[in-house]
Amino acid sequence: MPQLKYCYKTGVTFTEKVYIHHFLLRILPFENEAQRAVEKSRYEILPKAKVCVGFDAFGNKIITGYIDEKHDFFEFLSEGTMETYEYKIRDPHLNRLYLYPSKLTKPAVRIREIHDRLHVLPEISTADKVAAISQAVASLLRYEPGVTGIDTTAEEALSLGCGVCQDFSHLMISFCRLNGIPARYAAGFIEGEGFSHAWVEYYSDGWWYAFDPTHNRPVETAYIKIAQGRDYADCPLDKGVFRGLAQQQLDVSVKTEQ
Amino acid sequence: MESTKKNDGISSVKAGRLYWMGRYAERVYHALHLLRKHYDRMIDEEPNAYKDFCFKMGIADQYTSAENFIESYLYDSENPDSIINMLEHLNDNAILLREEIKSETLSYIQLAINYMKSSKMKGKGLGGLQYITDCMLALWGSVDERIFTRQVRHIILFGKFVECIDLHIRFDYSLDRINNLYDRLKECFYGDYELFDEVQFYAFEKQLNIYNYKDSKTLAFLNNIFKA
Amino acid sequence: MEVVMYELLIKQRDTVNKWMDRFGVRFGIYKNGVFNEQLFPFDPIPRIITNEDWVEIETGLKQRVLALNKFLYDIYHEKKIVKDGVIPEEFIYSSSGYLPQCEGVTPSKNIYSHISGIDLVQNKDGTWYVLEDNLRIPSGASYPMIARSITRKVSPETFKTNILYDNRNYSALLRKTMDYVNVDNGLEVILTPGRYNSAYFEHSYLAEKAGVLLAYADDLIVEDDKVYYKGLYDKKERVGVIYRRISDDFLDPLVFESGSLLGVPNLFRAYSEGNVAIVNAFGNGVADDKGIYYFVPKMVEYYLGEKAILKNAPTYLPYFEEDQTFVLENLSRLVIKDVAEAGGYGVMFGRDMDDIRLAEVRKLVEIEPRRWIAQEVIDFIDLEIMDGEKKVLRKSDLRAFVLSGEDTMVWPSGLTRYTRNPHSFIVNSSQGGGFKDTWVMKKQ
Repeated sequence: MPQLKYCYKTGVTFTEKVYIHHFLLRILPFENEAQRAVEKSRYEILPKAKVCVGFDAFGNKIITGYIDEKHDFFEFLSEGTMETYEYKIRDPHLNRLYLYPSKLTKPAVRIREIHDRLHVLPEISTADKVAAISQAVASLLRYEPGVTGIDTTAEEALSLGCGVCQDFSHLMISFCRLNGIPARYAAGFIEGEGFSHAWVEYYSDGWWYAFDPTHNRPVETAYIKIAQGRDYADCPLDKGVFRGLAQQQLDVSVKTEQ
Repeated sequence: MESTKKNDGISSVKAGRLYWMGRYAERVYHALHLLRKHYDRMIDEEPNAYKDFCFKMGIADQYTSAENFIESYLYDSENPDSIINMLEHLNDNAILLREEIKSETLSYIQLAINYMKSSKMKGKGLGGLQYITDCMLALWGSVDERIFTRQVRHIILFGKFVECIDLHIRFDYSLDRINNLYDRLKECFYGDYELFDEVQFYAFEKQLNIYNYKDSKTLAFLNNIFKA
Repeated sequence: MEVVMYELLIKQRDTVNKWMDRFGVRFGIYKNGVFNEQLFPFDPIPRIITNEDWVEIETGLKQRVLALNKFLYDIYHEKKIVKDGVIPEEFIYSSSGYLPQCEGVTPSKNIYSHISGIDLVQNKDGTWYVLEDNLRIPSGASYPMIARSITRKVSPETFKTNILYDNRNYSALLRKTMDYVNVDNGLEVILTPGRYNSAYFEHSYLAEKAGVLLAYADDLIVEDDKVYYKGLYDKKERVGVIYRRISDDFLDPLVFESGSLLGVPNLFRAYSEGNVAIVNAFGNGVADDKGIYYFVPKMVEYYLGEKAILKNAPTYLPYFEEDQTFVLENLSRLVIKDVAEAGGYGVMFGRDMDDIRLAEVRKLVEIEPRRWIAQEVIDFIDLEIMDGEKKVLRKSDLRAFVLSGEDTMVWPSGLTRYTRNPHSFIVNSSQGGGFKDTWVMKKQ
């Protein structure tokens, strides 16, 4: 099965020195049936911080940390090698949460109208329904970076008619849930991308499967998941607060190769 | 049954507010006192005594006449040096300290500000401001009576005495008087050795005892003694 | 019915208002982005609640708040009320106040809503109805408390002739509640967002009277999952209970949405580890959601096995088919409320709509039934307020405060708010208007 070597780097530079900096990162891959570490994944954070690793409410591994003294840069790195398998994750106790609207996926007038028009046939398989939904999303959204933001809802992206992988995923999740298919947001790495990627996981008969609406294709393997939630708002990859008046400059790079 | 637990805590920012509350309250009281002394000279002896006041206070003399000075220095909220502005700064600090100084103490500041605003409307001038002085003295009384936590009271008094000494030095009071106040200042941080900057403190003391206290460096050291 | 004498209070209102001014009894409003603080207008005529009415209200409130607290525990644990079919799971999971992070977390002493603000109105036929439950950050008790303090000082005779319950004990009840849930005998603090919050007067006044520390976000730090107050000399003192006047969204910038600096990073962790009590707990929004309101009387039956003493205003949920039919047919005489958070349609009265508007609203209801709640319009009793020298009538409501500690204590008073605009049915502190003291008469 495909092995992927990943390296996720983020560098933040501040225009002025900042201090009392608290941060929370979701940068470590899951360990499940679809992906296992070949070499132990490692991470690095600079400047040196007091850190603690734990889990959040959605099962994501989180790194919380704190830097007291003044600094004008912040870098973190996560790398390792994962062996990926068929994307099928067992979950005997579905969290019912994933059936219902969430902040960024809440359907309003437009989404509901399209859902009504879509007429997803109830008797076809879940996998086929999901594929039909992805097809619909592909026809409704144009891939265009720089228009939507991290706060953009599915409804807003739909009226704009464009977005990035986050928006494609949110819109797809919204339709899945309207059709009674439990769905959740997944983020992580795929081969070659310069940034992290987002896709959709859907639940059927005790298993979570995945679909990539941005590329309009089912996910077979070779996707490394590092975060999941109802939508992006539940699991941003990095969050921080600090003291000091400074502008931030973000530099993100992801390198994934077989 | 009442709870006996004490919830005492002073953050660095709160300490700063207490200190500045003390300074502004003293500034209002003392500025009015000095103003009356100068105003008395302005009646017949020296109509321009207000210029001397400005010079000693270290504020810009931007006034066109004695009348303009009195009007503006008392009531003009656009004038950063005015008494009404001192009261507002005092209030800005005190209103964030209600739970420490108690509503009663805070109320004297509100009364002073209300009176100041109405006095302006009635064109009362300096003569009608005894009430402000009364409020400030009541404020100190209330600080004494209503604040039970020693450290809180002492930080406010620390500010009061720093301001008081500052003005005494500026306005040529005798070294005796200043030393008296200095003893009272020391009482405020006895035991709280980290509330003051030792270097500045000893430098200030030297200026009083050895060197010339009228040197401008004295004020610089004095104003940097408090550290929280 | 006792005759209550308050004419003296009307005569002495200028003196009372001077004292209010002196003590800075203010409320702030943001208008066009500018913060404007003014004295909260106080009307001298008290709202009178007869002892007979109070007995019923008090029992009803205790029952309601007890049930709501049990509901909150249940929702964040086994969800028995959902499994037993009383409340559809959708109402829980779609509620914006539902916080998945709170699943399985049990707050200190199992109490979620320590301070519950239950808004009541009285119908012209005398029946009391609950308009709304506020279990997150209900505010306003400090105003009648200080008003009573002042009116007793200015007009002692009034309180000799009328026998009513003293309400100046609110801060003592608050303190008692905080003492009860305090973890490890730590410091007790009120966490305020700061000077420019509408109810800042209340934050500082309650801290003064309850004898607790007033803290700002910068004063607190979480280390090793415990909360500390940063004092002088790098001193860190353990905090045991925080009465927070900041909403969930802003309380922990690392866990919940906002990256704002009003909150304390990692506070949620400290709370979920049981190292600090948060008053009111995280996640209460799922219980005071306008959609959940409909089910509260059923909660009383389910958790307490009793019939609810206090009635809800007759309410219909278009989510349920029979209710939806009823609502669409009777829209012109109902009031429709948008359950969705800020930016929604708010409150709309059917009787103010023309045929076109009615058709539009019907469509909205059909498309998103979960979003709407409809109620009969209650003709509430207007109260007299002084307008210059005349007495005029205005709409008003009553916010009762229930404190849940070792026991459930109902404060023998309440915040009565009235509208300024004679034609307005919406009583809300941020829309202008003023307040009255609320007198609960003792048994004669």
